[in-house]
Amino acid sequence: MNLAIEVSNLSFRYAGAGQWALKNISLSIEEGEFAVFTGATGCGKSTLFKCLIGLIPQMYPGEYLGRVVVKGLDPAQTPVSRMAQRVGMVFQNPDNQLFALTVENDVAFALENLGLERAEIERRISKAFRMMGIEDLRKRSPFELSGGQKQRVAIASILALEPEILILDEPTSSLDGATAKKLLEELGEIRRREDITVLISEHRLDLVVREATRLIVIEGGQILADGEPREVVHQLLKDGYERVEPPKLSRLAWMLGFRGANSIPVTKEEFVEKLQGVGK
Amino acid sequence: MSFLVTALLFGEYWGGMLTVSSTIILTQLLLLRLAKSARYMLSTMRGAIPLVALVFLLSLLGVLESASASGELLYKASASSIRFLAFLTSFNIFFLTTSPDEFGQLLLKLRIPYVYSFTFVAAVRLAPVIADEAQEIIDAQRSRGVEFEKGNPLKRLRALVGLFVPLLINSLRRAYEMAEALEVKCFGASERRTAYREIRATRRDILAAVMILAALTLVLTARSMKLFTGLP
Repeated sequence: MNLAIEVSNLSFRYAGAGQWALKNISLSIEEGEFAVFTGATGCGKSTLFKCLIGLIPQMYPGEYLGRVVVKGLDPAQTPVSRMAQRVGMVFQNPDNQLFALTVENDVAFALENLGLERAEIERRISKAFRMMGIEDLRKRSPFELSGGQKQRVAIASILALEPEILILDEPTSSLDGATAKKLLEELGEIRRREDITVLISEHRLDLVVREATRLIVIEGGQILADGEPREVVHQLLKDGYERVEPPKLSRLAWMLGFRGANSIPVTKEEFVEKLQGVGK
Repeated sequence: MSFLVTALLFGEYWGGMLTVSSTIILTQLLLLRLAKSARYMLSTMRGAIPLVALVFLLSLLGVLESASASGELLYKASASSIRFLAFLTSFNIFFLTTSPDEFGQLLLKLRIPYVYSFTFVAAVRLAPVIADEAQEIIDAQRSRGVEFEKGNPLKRLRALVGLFVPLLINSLRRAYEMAEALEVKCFGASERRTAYREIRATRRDILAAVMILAALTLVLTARSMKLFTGLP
């Protein structure tokens, strides 16, 4: 497997801030992974994501140490608009990411900025609409959409750039559980079908653990745990770590005494299977 | 737009201001009636009534010293308010009938840098978002016991500080978040920006443009010949 992202000893302190937002982070992410970043609010997830696309240090002044390589490019030195053609980033609040007055024009916005021909724009936005299942919203105004629909449009507008890496910074924070779960499942499906690497920050591990191939816990700007989701969930439960909520069924299984490092259930199906195994 | 320019052109001297402004409003109403939109348009203008009253009062105070007779005083104050109303109706029709996206494209075709036309579109796009936010802050302040509609004007003004300060802070934060989103959407990446939906001038557009230009020429001629002198 090729590396999509390589972060070596990255530290960053915002100008004027006393504390480092990121402290000596080293991390490698392979192509095709679905990496979930979790941790308490303000732990440094968003800062790390901004470093991966170059918004930090290009838009935010501060002390930047270490090295980041994303798809062979150094985000600190490459214009964000060039990085954005390979690394798509979706932010938390869709209202601040939708600029046009129709959904269609919004999804086309980045492609127009790149000066692409109309036929190519049409091809890409049609594909993005299909991927996010929002063909019916094409002519609508972003004003009249629900939170979930707006977030889908925001993701589609980034997918239209056909990025190799998709970064989503808490995309489900304003969505209800069911809508968020569906969206995350679809993102997992897009990753498998389009073979892109997905990095996502999410608090509700219950919703995302099924899709995750990797779980990274950040605390105070440092990586606290990093590994295969089951392994990390086990570690969180073993250490009694309370700043991240492990999947509820994993916690229940732990309380019921299923504490094996390789066998702790993280999904509903695994949990049911575990319980059925008891009776046999 | 031509109504707007006309209203502007006749602002320099008092002569004819009332006639021209009233004609503009009446013509607009007639056109709106033909388009069966007069009622809707009037309903959107209701909020402007206090503003027009304010302009009347301010004008009254402003011309108090220079006006020689009470008739002239009233004339000047009424002319200013009617002219202001003509501005409002002109702007209102413009914004209700023109898609900001299309207007932005027009500016681009006129070779105005995209950053300016985008600023216009973004401002229109953000207006309802900021309105929602203002409503949220008002609700939050009310739930804390702030009364925006009670008390003397000074007290009301002080209550508004509780609305405008958080609104300003939130807007600044939003501006920064929007700038980030623009960066990741490759804003300004290519000097030759393309348009997915391009607007093209049809025969009707050209006909309308010619008619507007002709009307403006007439107005300019009337103005240069000082056809409207003296009151009203």
